[in-house]
Amino acid sequence: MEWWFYLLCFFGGLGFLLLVGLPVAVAFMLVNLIGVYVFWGGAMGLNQLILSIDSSVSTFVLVPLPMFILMGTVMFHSGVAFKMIDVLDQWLGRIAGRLAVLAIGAGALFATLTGVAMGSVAMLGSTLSPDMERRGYAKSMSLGPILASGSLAIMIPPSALAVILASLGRFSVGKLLIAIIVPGLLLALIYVAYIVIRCHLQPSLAPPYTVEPTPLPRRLVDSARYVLPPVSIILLVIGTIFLGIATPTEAAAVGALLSFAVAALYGRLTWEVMKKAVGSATSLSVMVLLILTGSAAFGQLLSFSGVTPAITRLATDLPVHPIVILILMQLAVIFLGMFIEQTSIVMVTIPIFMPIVAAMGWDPVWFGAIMVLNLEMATISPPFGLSLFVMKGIASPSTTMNDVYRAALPFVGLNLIVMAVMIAFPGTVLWLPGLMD
Amino acid sequence: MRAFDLIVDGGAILAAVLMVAVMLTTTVKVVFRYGLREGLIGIDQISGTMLLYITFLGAAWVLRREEHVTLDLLVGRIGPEIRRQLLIWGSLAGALVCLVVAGFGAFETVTSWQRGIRIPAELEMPRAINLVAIPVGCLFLGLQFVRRAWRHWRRATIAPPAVVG
Repeated sequence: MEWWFYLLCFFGGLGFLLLVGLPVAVAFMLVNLIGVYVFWGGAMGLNQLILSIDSSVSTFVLVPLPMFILMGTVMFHSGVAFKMIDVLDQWLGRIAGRLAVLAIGAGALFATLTGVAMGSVAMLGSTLSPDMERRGYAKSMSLGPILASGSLAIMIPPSALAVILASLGRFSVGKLLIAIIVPGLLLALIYVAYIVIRCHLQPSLAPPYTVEPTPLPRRLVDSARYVLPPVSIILLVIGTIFLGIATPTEAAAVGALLSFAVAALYGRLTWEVMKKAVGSATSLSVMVLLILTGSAAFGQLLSFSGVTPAITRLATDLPVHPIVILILMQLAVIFLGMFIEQTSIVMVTIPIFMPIVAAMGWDPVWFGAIMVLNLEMATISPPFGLSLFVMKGIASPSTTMNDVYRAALPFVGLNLIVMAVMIAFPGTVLWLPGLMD
Repeated sequence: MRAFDLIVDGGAILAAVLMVAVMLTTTVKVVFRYGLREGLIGIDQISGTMLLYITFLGAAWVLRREEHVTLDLLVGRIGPEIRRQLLIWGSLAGALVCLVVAGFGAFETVTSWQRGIRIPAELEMPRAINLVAIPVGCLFLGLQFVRRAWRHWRRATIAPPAVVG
């Protein structure tokens, strides 16, 4: 049977199950069950599926995900996050769309320690989103920046995905981590510019609110009191990872414990707060991990059935300019990224892509950085970007999937602009790693 | 039903405790390494195993709270009766999937245990210790789906109260 038929069955089946309201994780599981039965030798294949579920979830690499969610819920339920946001907000002054800008800033900051887009979206969604709603922000200006800032997690080192990509592609992990810094910062800047201009033109999207004029000494004291301790946790986490003192898993666990300590320091770590924080973190983690379980097996099936290689082959066989091939490869990644999680995409595409990269004479670090940006974009690309589902899970009950889609689309466009810059001007990617030689 | 709820709650509490345990054990590992100059092996492997347990022990509880992510693009726009039908059939499909996975998971766990298969990592734990979380979690998730289908079914079969006055 032809690969496109399988493609139609997999994605058509998954799309149908999602549309009729089956939970995402179960929809993946059902498609996997049928696919595995067909391709992996009936009942024997189903036994393999169990092993696949085990190996895809029981890995310490994923531990930062629940740990950072826990950090977020502790800071949210203890009120520490709100105090921090209030103080930072004072410093932002009268800028249009101040909380949306704050989301980008907090996202970029938080991104440096998570490297996991969904964990970042989960934390920022649970801390910033309620405050934005309280202040009358339109959904497009509350959900969008959080989704965008959450996805910055992958573009600012240390990025777990960059490490996976470089190690599978067998090129320098360090260089790729350095290479994504400039595009990551460019992305953050372009997000901020978009928010400020849009909110300036349409003030109803982010109603300005009065900020009590606070004297500078008071602002400094408040910052030292309410911003310094949480930021110190973040810096400690980043520092230990960068200096090689701790792995991301260890840094995340210590960071989560310290967030409890900070809440206790403020006298807000009550039994009720602990119950709510740990309960919310458990619920969110279970939801995300269960999706990851299904999507990993789905990625393996796509590869096994020949769909992923066929799509890549189709892209590379065309007698066109190499840049067109690069764009087509990225389109294949975007397409897959709408359905499966990033690690699976890396695993199924990199073994096929890297020989093409070598044949074309491209710098693998440059290609890797573009792909990281693309994978980052995939998490917020409608209709199936996984961060969209996480956002939907965290947002207020009145938020529909359409709201989430509409909020994400402008930021997908901004990502495309940055990607175009990276393709047109390779120096934006290769300048910093070039200094390492 | 009350007993089932208690089991589901118990699973969630265990998942939450495991999450805190992952945080504490990993921190202890760091403290041992830098404070006592002693390495603790196997913590990362145990943390990975705990993730699997957290996922499957909490799955039924998350479903009971209707917190598993769904796509409401179509379901949010259709009439209540069709929506109810979709929820019933969707829940039954979910139950079927989970119970099939539970069945094969149980088989694979027993097989793995009988063959003495171990995970090729620091602790070389029997793989069955990992695998058992999958059938147990999927069994309760499947049963919770059955309850969900039953709940939506009853909503239609019980006659609405008569309007007086």
